[in-house]
Amino acid sequence: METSELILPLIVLGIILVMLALGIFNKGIAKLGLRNFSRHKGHSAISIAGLLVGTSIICASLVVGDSIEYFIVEDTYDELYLVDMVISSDNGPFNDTLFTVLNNDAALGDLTDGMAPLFVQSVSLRDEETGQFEPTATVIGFDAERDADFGNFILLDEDKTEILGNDLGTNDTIINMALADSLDASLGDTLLLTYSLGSTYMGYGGEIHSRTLTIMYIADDVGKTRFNPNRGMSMDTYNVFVNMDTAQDMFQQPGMYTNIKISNNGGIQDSVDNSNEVRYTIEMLLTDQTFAGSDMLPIVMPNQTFSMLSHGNVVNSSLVLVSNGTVIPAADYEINQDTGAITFTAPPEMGDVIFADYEFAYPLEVSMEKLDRLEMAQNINEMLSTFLTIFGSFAILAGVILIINIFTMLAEERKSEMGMARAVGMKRRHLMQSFLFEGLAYGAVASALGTLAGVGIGAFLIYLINNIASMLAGVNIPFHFETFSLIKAFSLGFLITFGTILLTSWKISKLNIIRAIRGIEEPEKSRKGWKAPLMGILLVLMSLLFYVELWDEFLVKMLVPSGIMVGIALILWRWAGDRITISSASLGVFLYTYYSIRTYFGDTGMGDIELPFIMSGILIVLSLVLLIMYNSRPIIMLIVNTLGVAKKLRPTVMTAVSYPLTKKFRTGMSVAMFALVVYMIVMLSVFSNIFVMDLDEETLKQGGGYDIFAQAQVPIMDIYDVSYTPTLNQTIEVTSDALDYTTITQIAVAMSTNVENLNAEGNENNGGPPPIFEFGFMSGSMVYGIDQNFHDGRSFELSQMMELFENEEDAWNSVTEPGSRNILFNSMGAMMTEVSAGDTVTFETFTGNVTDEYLVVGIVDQNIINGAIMSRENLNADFNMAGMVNSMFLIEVEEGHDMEAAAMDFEKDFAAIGMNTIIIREMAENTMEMLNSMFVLFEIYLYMGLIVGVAGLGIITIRSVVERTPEIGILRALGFTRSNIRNAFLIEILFIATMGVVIGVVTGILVSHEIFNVMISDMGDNIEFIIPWSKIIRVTAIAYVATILCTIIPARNAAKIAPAEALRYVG
Amino acid sequence: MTNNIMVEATDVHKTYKTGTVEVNALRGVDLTVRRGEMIAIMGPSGCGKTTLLNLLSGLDDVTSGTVKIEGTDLSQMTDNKKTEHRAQRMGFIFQFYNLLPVLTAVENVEMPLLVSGIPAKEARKRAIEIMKIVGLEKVMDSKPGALSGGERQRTTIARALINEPAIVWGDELTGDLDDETANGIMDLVEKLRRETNATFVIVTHNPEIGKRADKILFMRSGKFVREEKNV
Repeated sequence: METSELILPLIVLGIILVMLALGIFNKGIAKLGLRNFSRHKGHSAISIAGLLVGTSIICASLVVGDSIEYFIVEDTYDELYLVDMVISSDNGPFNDTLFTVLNNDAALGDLTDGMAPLFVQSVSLRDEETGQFEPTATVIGFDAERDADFGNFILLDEDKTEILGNDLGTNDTIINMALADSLDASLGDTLLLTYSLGSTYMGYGGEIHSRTLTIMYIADDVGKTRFNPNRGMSMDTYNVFVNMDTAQDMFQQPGMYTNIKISNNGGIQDSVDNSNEVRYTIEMLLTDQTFAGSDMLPIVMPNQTFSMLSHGNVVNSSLVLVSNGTVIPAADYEINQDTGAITFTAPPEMGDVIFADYEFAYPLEVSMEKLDRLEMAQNINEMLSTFLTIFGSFAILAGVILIINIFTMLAEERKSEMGMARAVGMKRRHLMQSFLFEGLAYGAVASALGTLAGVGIGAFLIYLINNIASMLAGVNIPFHFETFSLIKAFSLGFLITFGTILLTSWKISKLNIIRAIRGIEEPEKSRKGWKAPLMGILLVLMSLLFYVELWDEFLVKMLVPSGIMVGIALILWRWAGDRITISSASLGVFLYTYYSIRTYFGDTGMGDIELPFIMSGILIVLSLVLLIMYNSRPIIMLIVNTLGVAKKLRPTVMTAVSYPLTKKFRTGMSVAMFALVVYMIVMLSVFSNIFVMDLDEETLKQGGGYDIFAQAQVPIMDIYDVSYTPTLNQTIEVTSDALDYTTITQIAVAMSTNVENLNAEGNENNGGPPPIFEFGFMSGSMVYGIDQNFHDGRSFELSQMMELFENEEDAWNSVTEPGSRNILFNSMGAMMTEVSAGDTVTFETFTGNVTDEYLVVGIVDQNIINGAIMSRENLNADFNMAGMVNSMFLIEVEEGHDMEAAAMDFEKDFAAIGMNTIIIREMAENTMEMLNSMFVLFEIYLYMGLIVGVAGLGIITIRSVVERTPEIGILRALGFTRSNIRNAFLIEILFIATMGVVIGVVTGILVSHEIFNVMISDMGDNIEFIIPWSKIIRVTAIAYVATILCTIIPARNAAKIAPAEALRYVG
Repeated sequence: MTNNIMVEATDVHKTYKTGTVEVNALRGVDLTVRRGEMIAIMGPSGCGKTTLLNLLSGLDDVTSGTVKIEGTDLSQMTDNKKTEHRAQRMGFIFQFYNLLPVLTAVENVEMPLLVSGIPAKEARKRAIEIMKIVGLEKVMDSKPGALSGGERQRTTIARALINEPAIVWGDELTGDLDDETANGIMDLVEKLRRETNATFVIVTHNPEIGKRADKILFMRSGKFVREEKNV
């Protein structure tokens, strides 16, 4: 918690103390306010129900953020345990000299209390006893003595025995429990590990090796057993702990390490806080130092022209390359200093053994693992809370409007009392204070209950998030909240309520005593003063100032013209009157906001859209509400003349619609409250409808007719002919029965470090600076090499296609035909690299070369193959991927065979090359479920807004009945039956709800259509704008039923009032 | 002779309960009003005038006794029947006008016709006609808030008479007006009464108004104590 966060609770405390002091000095006023609060308990309860929603939304947002932060923090401490920092190299192992330098440094020794090297490498493995396999596991070589500073392995026996692991033999291993569960393994089982050896690029160039290990211990997934520097995003890692010597021997890297883990001095918090100092010290130590390294360079194919060194910034002069025992002359190769890639001018032959000895400067990354993750947890918490609060902002705003409405009505209801109070000497500030005491009670009770409700809603949201997250990575987030978050939610809710009441009471305390006592209607506001024109001039000037200074800002573009229009309306109001000025200003704001969504939203990054989205929603809804409120006469006539065709209904309808349209402010507020919530629900329904998927369609879209998507860690020449040589005299053939009943398309995969779009706006080829990639966008991309059979007879759809092709088949054929420079991108890859059909791009290869130009002829609407798709011929030539090396496989299973069994067979039989499979239909199913859960989560938020709307209408009805008691009497005297009275109230409230619903639906559809056009329509061919009428009707029906339920009781009570009693109310 | 009796009240009692306290507002009132007659009921505040008016017009129910309107016992009528009867046979004029603030003057006037099921066009036509009669044709599209006290009361009178009622109930119908305007209103009431032959029962404090009635009934503590006939 930061000191600045205390401001809100302190302000709340300050308000409460000031009010207490006021109460002590002016007990009468305090008593009046507080008694008014408890005067009509039922009414107060409904008001509180409406008021608490805003607080509950804020609280739920904070609670969700807390739970997720707690989860990440717990997981961080759980997994990293005593590890604070990790030194690693992206380029492969480094020499143990580096460890020695760090370990011997006295200054670093003072800052740390543990430092241990690791050798970490991915493998595939199989339990020889159970036959179970795991395509991706991690071998972690450790030095038991040095590792002792990081705790012990905790075994699964009853005593939870702790061991250091110093008794492991050369062929022994400790595995973690997650792996044991996955393999169904027991102590003493033999594990067969297969892995690729040699310095590799995308796994190419490796030879498959194997090693058997015996499980000596199975350790619980706590403490250092869980730590895996290569964990990445996955929740469960499968760890195989071996002696450092065993690991170095397995991977032929004697004296080399891949990581160094460091524990900082100090307790839990201090050790994290010291991270920056430790990192600085390490970096200083490493600067200007060089370390020796050596590599056996892989030669994948004959005539291959490059290899990679483990370290990018090799000290050039020290590099010695030896081929088959002979030093290669420096003139026969070139080295890329940044990437460590060697290009041979005289290409080596297959079978050549090339060693490199060199020195390198510090190329390592010193990451503050624990600190970074804890900061990330905090950032995610803040981001999520902000996102959810923004999402709920329409409901919060509806809550604010409700507060204004409640207090305006309370004031109107008590006008005569207030007039009387003023007449007998109560000052204006006393009236305000009395309202503030009442507001204090409302604010405190509603905020407290809202906070409690928010905790419950938060728990439900976490349950939903767990549904989503468990599908992705088996995550289960515990429900957790910080007390301070509840204080914060309470404070925010209280301040919103109290602040709104303060402003409202200031306005309503300005009453005319005589008019108030005699119940005379307020006259129309005089237009003689200069206040409005002056405010208008000020608004215009301020808008112009913003225009001049900040025109580039999207919000300024969107708000300034509206500000000018409102300013001009205020200036002209004195002469032109309410209707003309308000109507023209609101029409202008409505049209311009609509135009700005259409014009500017497309240019805005997804990350910057929240505030403009909220502002545009508020402006467009409120302007339409005002427009309708000030042009209500035709609406009244239309409704009376249509509904009033039934003679008996006419007077009821006439009365029902005349009341709300006469009380413009109050009705406008109610309509706006309802419309804002419906607007957001409609928007969300439209967007969820756009992304709603049909399982069969989605499976076909993603898979193009293939059933299984498979990836191998070790690329192979041909899946139908795989073998490897674990020992010199042994060759193992890898095959699978599944090959007999499947059709497989093999794909080669390379990576480009930078895709340059020569057509991009601002590209230097077009005279501009290089493109700046915004958050979420990246410059690199995977590149896939395909053959004709990849797309023949398949149904991968193109969401964009250059016009020069007659059909999609032609576009596909143009990519794979010999000599073509045409390529395709998938939709996600195109979005990330900001590429469209018709663009010309170049790729930077891993060796630093830039390819010739390619023409992007279309965008494929699927996301399994994520990046650029080109012919295998081009991939081989431009990315030095000589030969038929494949690491991705698309598999079609013959009818009558089980897909799951086939996938399992592939993983099991090709475990040696680390085969992982995904059943495309299952993936589509998961995506669908995840999307649905997400939309359910958002919808819940919005339905909370609907509660505000409906509660608001209930409150309005209750207050209207009280306020209009005399009029009920006269209507009854004139011949209105009880049912006429009840119906009049119901029709009135349904009329308000209908206006809100219609405005919300119309604006929601209009705006979502424009957002769809400018931001979503080009995401895919199948994406269509369809208005989800059934969903909208369902929401509307729920809103109506809830409204009727909320208003039927006060409406019936109104009907029950005896006419004489009602008339006496006046007399 | 019975056909000539418009209102017949016999031993009417009305008791209000306020918590545990019972207030006897009327203590055995007998009254007969003949068709076309104009009766003024006078008495000090709280003597039960308005209560009696409410009971006679069916706006409230008697505690005991009977009230017959045109020979029909109100206690035998359902609430809807009484309401229908009010809409078709009665007109009301109140001290505080009791116009519906959200409707225009002409809409207020036409309301009793609409409630009685008269088609909208015809109702509007008749409303405009009567607005002309009461001299309000120029302000008929104004809302009550924009009218003067006299105009509001004339609107109320127009509304009370538009359905050609058999009986009009008036409660302090000039109470909130200056003398000149009050006299103007009473002239109008008398004129309309002559033209429509409606029965008028008026509650008033004002002796000048009382003098314009056929007879004045004086009330005190929930009972008639005296009757004066005007010549």
